[in-house]
Amino acid sequence: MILRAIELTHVGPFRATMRLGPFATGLNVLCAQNETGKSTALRATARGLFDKHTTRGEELKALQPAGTDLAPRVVVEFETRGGRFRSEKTFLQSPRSHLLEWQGGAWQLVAEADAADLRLQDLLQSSLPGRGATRPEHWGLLGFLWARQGEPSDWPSLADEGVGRQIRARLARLELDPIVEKLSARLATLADSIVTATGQARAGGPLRQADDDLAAIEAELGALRATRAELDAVHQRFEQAVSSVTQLEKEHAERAVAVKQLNEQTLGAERLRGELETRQVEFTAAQQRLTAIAADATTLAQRQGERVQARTTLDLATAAVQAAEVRLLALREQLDRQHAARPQIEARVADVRAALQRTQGLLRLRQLHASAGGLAQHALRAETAGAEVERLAALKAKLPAVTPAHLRRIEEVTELVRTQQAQVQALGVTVELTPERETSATIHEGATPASTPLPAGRATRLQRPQSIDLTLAGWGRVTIRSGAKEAQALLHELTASEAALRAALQEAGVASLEAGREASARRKELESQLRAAETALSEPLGEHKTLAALRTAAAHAAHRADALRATLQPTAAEQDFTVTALESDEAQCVAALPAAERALVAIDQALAALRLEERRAVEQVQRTGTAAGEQRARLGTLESQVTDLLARYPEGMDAAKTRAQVEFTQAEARVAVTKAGLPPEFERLPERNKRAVGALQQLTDALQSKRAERDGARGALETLGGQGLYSRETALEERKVEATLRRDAARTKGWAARLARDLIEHRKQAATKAVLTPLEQRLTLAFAELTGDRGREVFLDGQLQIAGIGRTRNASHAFDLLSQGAREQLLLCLRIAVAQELAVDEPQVLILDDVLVNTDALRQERVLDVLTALAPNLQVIVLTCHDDRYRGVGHAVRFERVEG
Amino acid sequence: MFRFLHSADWQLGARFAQFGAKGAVLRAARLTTLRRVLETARDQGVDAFIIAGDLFEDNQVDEALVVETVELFAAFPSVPIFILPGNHDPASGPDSVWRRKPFLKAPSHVHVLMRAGVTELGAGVHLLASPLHQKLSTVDPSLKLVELAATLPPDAIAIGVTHGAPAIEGKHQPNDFPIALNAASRAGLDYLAIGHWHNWLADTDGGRIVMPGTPEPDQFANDRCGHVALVEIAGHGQPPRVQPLPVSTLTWKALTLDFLALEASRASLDAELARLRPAAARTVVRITLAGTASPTRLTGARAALEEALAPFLVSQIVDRTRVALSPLELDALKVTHPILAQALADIDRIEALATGVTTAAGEPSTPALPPLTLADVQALLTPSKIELAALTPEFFSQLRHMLLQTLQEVAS
Repeated sequence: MILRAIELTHVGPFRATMRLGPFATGLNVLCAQNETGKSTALRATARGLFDKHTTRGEELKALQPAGTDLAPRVVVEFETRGGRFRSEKTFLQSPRSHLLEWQGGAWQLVAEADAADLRLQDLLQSSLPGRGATRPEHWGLLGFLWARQGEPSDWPSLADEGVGRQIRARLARLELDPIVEKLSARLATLADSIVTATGQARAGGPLRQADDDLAAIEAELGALRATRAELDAVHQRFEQAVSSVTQLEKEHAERAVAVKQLNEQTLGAERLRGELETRQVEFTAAQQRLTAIAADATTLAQRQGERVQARTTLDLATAAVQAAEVRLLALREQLDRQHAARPQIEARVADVRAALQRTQGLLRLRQLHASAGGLAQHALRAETAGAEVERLAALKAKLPAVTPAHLRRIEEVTELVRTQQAQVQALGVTVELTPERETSATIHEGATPASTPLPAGRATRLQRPQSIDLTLAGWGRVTIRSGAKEAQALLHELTASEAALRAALQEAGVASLEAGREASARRKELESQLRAAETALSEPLGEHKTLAALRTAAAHAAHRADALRATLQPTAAEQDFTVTALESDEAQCVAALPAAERALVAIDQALAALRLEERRAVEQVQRTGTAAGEQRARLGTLESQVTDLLARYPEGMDAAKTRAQVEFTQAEARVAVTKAGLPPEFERLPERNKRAVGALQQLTDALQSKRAERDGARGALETLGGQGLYSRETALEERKVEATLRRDAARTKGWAARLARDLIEHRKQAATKAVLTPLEQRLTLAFAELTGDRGREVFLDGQLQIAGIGRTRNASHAFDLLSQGAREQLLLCLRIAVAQELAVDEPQVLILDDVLVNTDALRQERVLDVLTALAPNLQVIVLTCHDDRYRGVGHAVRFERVEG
Repeated sequence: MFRFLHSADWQLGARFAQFGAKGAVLRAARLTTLRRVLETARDQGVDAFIIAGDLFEDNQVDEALVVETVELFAAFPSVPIFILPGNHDPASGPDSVWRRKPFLKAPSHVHVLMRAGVTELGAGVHLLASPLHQKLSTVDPSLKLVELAATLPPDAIAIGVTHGAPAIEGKHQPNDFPIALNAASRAGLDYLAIGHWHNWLADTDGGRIVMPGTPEPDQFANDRCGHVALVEIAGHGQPPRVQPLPVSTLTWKALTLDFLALEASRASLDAELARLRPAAARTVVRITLAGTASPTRLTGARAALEEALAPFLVSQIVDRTRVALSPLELDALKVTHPILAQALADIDRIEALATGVTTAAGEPSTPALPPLTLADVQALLTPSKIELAALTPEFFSQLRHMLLQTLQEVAS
């Protein structure tokens, strides 16, 4: 397509109708100042060519003159391979569209309204968006050949299925085959309905459905086969169990027979063993009898010998008894005589002792009397001394309890008060009053005023810490104040110290320091007197701690003397005896008493010796009697034993011995016979029998277990066997075949559609690639013309996008990394190259809307060289505000107002 | 004269996976046939109906089928029925179909020969049975019949029954219960009823060993099946008279439509279908499409066949054709749609790479463009995760068919 003319009404700055054109083939230059409507006119042209007349939106409203609701009207005259046409479109208000064709020297209406839009779209090979106004990618070839102001380095994508494909096909000189396009699209749709682009089954598609069905069937089959496998396993277990049971039953039967035989053998052996034991008992008894008879014969001989010896010993013992009895009688007579002499000697000793005891009692009485008298005198002296001690203690108690600590404290505080008073006196107010006549002064201090006499002619000093307020009799009230602050503080300390002094005095119980010292001295004096009185009291007290104890001791001594007197009841003569006479009598008695006592001891010793002799004689009698009795008893025993032994064997000892020997021999022979009847190793038979029974029991248990296992397997088999597993599997297998067929058919269909479509596209792309080289060469040439650099090539990719420039394809610089100017120029070259390619079949318009703003003057000249040299069937429309750059170049185009 | 029916290999509950859901129809037909045979037995007044193994396809068949079968037997109390467990339904234990309640409580005229033994059928006729207890064995099951026959009176009519493959050299598997070809005469039997193979076989051991085949066809390849044997034995030592009675319910027919000789093949096929059509409701048909066909012809032929096969009980069309354009069609395609012609050439190329088979139609339409390399093909297939090795001749046939048929649709 090439443009021939444009008419704009109510567009941008054009409220009236403006006409732009006619455009010539070759280079057209529209040069005008900025803001004069160049770009607006071209944008309106695009809207008029590509947008439906009913389109609304900002893009169309932007065409309206500013601040108006005027309906933009765009008329475009253009020429295509199909003829010359005129499009008339009014937008927004009462939209209209007419398409006219130049026929027979006049414009003929071809279509109107939507039909006109559709026909125009077909002529321009453009497309429409889903909604709203078109964009450059919908403008068909013009979208690529129109370098728009502000977008010179943009190159629309050729990858889309609509226009991009047409462009590629045109560039590749590949005739678009609509049948193949439809075929490809249908195959793509078919493939997409079954499989995704990545080969996955499409969700909701037949392949996925079949896959899902198959998976479900396989899952069911898997479960079923697992059950069948379980059945097979159970069957195998069952057969093994049956086999085991058969084998075990056979072994059990064999072992049962063996156990029975062994048991019988064991019982026989046990019976023989019992018999043997009986025989052995009999043998032992015979042996014992024989041994007993032999022993009895030996014993009898021994007892008879012992009997003779016992008789001799008994005779000797009887004689000894008689001798002992004679000696005992002699001793008893001697003892009787000594017993008769002893009482006289005993009476003499008692008399001497009584006389001595009386004399000693009288002497003791005299001593007690003397002791009681002494204690009474001590008690009288102690009472006197005690009274003095009590008196002194009472005096001491009346004194204040001033301790040395109290005194020290009072002295310290008194000294502090004095010091502070002196300080107060030094700091405070001192008034010396010396009246001529005796008078008084009343000092106002505290609640009660105090009166102080003032003797005449003598100075009376009044001193206060801070002020003195006084009334002088006959004169009046005088107030004297001091300004010292320290005096106030000192006064407070003094008050505290005085309070402390009062507290100390009160605690010591004295009124003053002097009273305290006096009380302390008096107390020391009384304590000294008290100690002397207590010393005087301690002498009469003696060992007694208190006076009461002394009195008690005196009373006790008197009581003891009285008690002894009552006991002795001395006669008058005895009372008259002197102590010396009494002591003489005592000495006589003391001297007589040992001789009397020795005589008594001597007779007692003689008696003891006789009694000892008597006991020994008695013991001798008893010993000899016992020995004689024992011999007598032994003799009796021996007699009895001999009699018993002889009585055991009435037939006589020898005959009995002979019979026992015969019986022993017979019993020994029977034992030997019984032993010979026992089986070999008969001792082990019970253990073997026990083991065999145990083994049989184990076998029985194993058999029972196997039978249970077999029966369990049988039950499981009966249950599983009745489930119709094969039939269920059959139904699933048949469903599986159907699903597999569906799956295979769907997959084949999907794969076939995908592969067929991909092959078609592959071949189309291959065809496109086949023309890449000539296009690249043309592009490289144009870029070399523009830049003057012939050492670089321009490379395109499969989508006809500029891949880069450089010496080789692999060492090229990517388009996106080039400078803005280079990209503008490169895309200009691409547009030129594409336009040249397309122009071979049909004239094309190349619109350059102020696109070389980043191009220097040298390249600008080269651009003009290239544009001027373009083929005559290529229309180039340059919009610029730089008239100097294009002066004298191409066909000048300008806006013209259309009158009427 | 002792008369009995001998059958085997009923395979009740058999699987027909290749027919999908239609398998149920084929299974039902077997019970219909069984009823018909029992009616025949009753009407003929036979002395026994012997089933020589494989009454059921498997021991684990559905309980309903077992119940239905026993009920069917029970409906014919006048027919003494003797059933031998075969290798498909061996008397293998508690899970055996014969241990199910329906058989345990079956009427007295139904006898399952669970153990090897002799059953007196009356009037000096003895049935010697050697049932199978497992699915496979290399032991000849007829050997037991020798032992059993030794216990019979000299002039007794001895009828043996067992299950296995006649030990014909090269035709049987060693573990397929091989039965000696002289098994009947070796045991002194007057007749040995066997089962295992599904085609009729009655000329073994002087005609004393008979294998009647399955009474109901189950494969297109079994062309000598669908019978039971009616046997008459006049006395001991006399040859049996064996007559095959056709009893099958369904007819199985495999046909071919070959595009290489389309006209002749179509005529033959049409005639055969016309012959079968009166019994279409009892016929299973499979038609294999063979040869090279254009998409138009193939589509037309398939449509016509589907219509013709509609009345048949079960039908299948197996497409083994190769879709291809005629040289004239290909030339026209090169002119009108060169891209498609090139794509078809590419398909031939990919098929050659995938299957190793080079087709005559693989000539590229655009000589200027080089043929696809293996790398090109991998680059085409990989994004869609299509594996070259997984592509079969059938796939390429469908691919061509789809391409050309879609072309036809969009062009019309």
